[in-house]
Amino acid sequence: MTAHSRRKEQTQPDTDSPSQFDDGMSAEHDAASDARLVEEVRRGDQDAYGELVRRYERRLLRLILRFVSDFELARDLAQEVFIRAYERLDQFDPSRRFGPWFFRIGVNLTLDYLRKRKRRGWWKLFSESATERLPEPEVEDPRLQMDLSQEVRTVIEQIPEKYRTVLVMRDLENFSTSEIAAITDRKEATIRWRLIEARKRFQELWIKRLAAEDASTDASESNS
Amino acid sequence: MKCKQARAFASLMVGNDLESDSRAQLQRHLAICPDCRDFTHQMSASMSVLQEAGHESALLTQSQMVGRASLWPRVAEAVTQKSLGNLRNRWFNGSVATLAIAATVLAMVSIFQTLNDRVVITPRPNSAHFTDANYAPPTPPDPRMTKSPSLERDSGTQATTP
Ligand SMILES: [Zn+2]
Repeated sequence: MTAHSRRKEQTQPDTDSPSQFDDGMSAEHDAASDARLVEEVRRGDQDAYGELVRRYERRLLRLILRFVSDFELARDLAQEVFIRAYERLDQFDPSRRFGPWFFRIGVNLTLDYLRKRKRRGWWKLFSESATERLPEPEVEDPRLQMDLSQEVRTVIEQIPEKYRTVLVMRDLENFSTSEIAAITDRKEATIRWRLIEARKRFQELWIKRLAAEDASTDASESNS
Repeated sequence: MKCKQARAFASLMVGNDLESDSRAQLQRHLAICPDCRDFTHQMSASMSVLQEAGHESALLTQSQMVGRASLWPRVAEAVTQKSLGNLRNRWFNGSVATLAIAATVLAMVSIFQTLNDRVVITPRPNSAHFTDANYAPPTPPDPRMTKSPSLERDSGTQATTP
């Protein structure tokens, strides 16, 4: 099943449609059975949490990998998300869906990590010698040969966080706008406006990048 | 419809995020506005790039996940350790008051005992020292007054024996 074919019309109410908070394979579990598992965990059954981990780990890992490129780092972050969710399980309202609550922890933890890394990067830039490399530079030389997903990642990273988050979740991970609203704790109308802005910014940056690539190709051709 | 709104609608439409009635409105505007038509085409092209990249990296991630164990054993270990830690903390916090009270009681008991022992023992060396020639073993202290008179009595005896 392609990413595109999974996309659904917004005219359908999201709340009644099959959950997108699964692995993207099938609706093998639903909100009701998530709630049952949460209840079992609260009663002290740790294995029930194991079932929740196995249900959500692939989807979570995929989402985190949209923000960080290192697979092992993404696994570490995912592990931390599960631990944090477990610790906060008593704060979860069982009348609501587990998926959005859980992914909110995942998105917040990942963005927090990126913010800290960015701050560390800036601090290093000013406090240490200019020759020292920043940790995992995100902006690379556009002339480097990259595959499409890497190029797109580089462009997306230039978009401010509040738009980038929506763009990644909607256009790369196929969460619906109502699901993104639930995850980010914003109104759906806000998410739609951010999506409009995010797509516009991506489009402008992408055009700029293509133009820069063309210019560098022309320069190297005229040199040879 | 103004161009600004048309472009907002177009940005939603390229990702299937526009309701059908708004879509119809947009189509009517695009039919008469070449600038917004261009904008929509560009938007649609960059949307295809995004979706293609999304699909490509999803496949990459899928291949990276093949053969990788579930995170559950690692998570289980961590939450078990944290639960034990919390249990210890809870026990510790709950026990601090009890421990403090117990320590105070013990301290008071031992001070009381020491004072008692002193009351009983103090006269002995004095009596031994001053009555060297007429040494007579001290009368055993009242067992109701002290718990360990034997050691004190022995040392008292040694002290007086050349
Ligand atoms: Zn127009």
